[in-house]
Amino acid sequence: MLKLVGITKSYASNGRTVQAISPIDLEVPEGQFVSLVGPSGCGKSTLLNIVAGLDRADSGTVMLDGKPVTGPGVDRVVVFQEAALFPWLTAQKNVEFGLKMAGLPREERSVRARQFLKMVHLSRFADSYPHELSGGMRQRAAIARALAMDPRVLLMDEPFAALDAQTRALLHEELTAIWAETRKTVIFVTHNVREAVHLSDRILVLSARPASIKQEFRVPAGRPRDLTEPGLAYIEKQIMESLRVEIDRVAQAELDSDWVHETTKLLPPPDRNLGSDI
Amino acid sequence: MKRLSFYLLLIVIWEAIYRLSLWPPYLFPGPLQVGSSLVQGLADGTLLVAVAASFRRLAIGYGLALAMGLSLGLLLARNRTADELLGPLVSGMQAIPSIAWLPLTVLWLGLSEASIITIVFLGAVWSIVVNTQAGIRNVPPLWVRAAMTMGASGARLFTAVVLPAALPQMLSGWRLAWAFSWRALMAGELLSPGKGLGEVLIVSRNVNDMPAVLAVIVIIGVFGSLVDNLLFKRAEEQTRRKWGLAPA
Repeated sequence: MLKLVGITKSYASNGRTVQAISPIDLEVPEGQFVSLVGPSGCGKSTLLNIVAGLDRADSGTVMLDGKPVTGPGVDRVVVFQEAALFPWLTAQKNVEFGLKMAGLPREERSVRARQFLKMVHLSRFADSYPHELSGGMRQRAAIARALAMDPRVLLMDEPFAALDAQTRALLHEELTAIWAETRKTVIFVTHNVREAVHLSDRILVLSARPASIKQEFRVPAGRPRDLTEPGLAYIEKQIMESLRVEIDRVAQAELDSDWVHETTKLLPPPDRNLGSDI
Repeated sequence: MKRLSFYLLLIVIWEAIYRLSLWPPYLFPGPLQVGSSLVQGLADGTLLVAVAASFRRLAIGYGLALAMGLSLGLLLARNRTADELLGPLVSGMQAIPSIAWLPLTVLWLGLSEASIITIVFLGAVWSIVVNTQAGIRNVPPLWVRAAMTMGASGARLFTAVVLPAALPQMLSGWRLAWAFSWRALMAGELLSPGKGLGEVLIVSRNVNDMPAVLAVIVIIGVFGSLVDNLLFKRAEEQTRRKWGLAPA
């Protein structure tokens, strides 16, 4: 079980202190797929980095299985937005990297890496270098690399944001299948509500800066999911509405003061002129 | 083929100008004389001895520069205070052609091997420092963070991620350092006694053997570009290709 207690974070910007995260408490039971959605720049990635141990919280603790997190560790592996594969290593060697750091013997490393490359369907490209792979393939390799470490928690920081829509849809299905097989605890950061509904058991909407958990949604549906199903579409719409308020707050802070979100404005199609030219 | 015939043409033109006898042969020798001087120098071993002597100095000076440059570059990349204090000094030193130090090294070390090796060292070391530092500085933090979450830290993080990530830029620095030290070596040898290529060059000039002077220049050009192309350029390009920095 992953537990966050009273996490806060602020940073200095142009001499002023900006509160990035106001106290966040969260409990994630074993094997749950949790998504964090929020307006851009709200601090959801910062929160993920704190769980990963790459950033330090100002106050509060992250507990994994009752033990406090003090730094990066192999029990919490991150998949980043860009694949972050090492360009001087083949896909195979990239997957082996963490195993090598853990001191596994060569034979075992190689077998294990191949097994996970197979899981993400990259067996044929085991000996390719990252620059020879497409964006989607790189992200697959990064997922294999993270899973090969057999972490307690898989942290994903907008892993599909840089991919085209078709590749992303494919990887959604793939990730669902992998998750069903491995039953990892996953924390998934995204700004794509649809993606969150597709993948998660539980979705947390974060407020605009300073981030706090604004609202929580459960997605009590089996997998694989069809997002056109009314139940899921309804959840998606609710989350969108909850999120919209936060996005507007960000926009209001950033854009001109006269900006308002107009939802009722009717945009007439350009080929219908209702006879005004008679 | 096109290239070969072009260079043959150049040599023919050279020979033709020589035949016109515009200048006396001791000022403007023809390609045949230079060629025979070259063959003779290689056959009796004087040129090869000179190449060996030059490369020995180069190897020692460059080797020392590599060791020192890597350590210093590492220090500057890792330690902010060291960078603030020494950084400007290093970039200032880089701007000084190392042959300018020769009067000093001659006073301190005499007209000796040590003096020339010092010049070679000074020619190479600064660009190795600068590029080592920059290479390590420019390692994408993303790779370091990814490696940290996979359990890499300390010395292993450095050897397994930071060094390979910095390698392409470090190689560029080594290649640049080679070019500088090769030039520094020739300049140093021209000004001091010994057996190196530069010294053979100046001796040939002193005995008015112009074909030998040109033969030595040919050797300098050939060996300089051979090492650059076969060793440094190739290593740099292969690394860049493998790293995905250059189109495959």
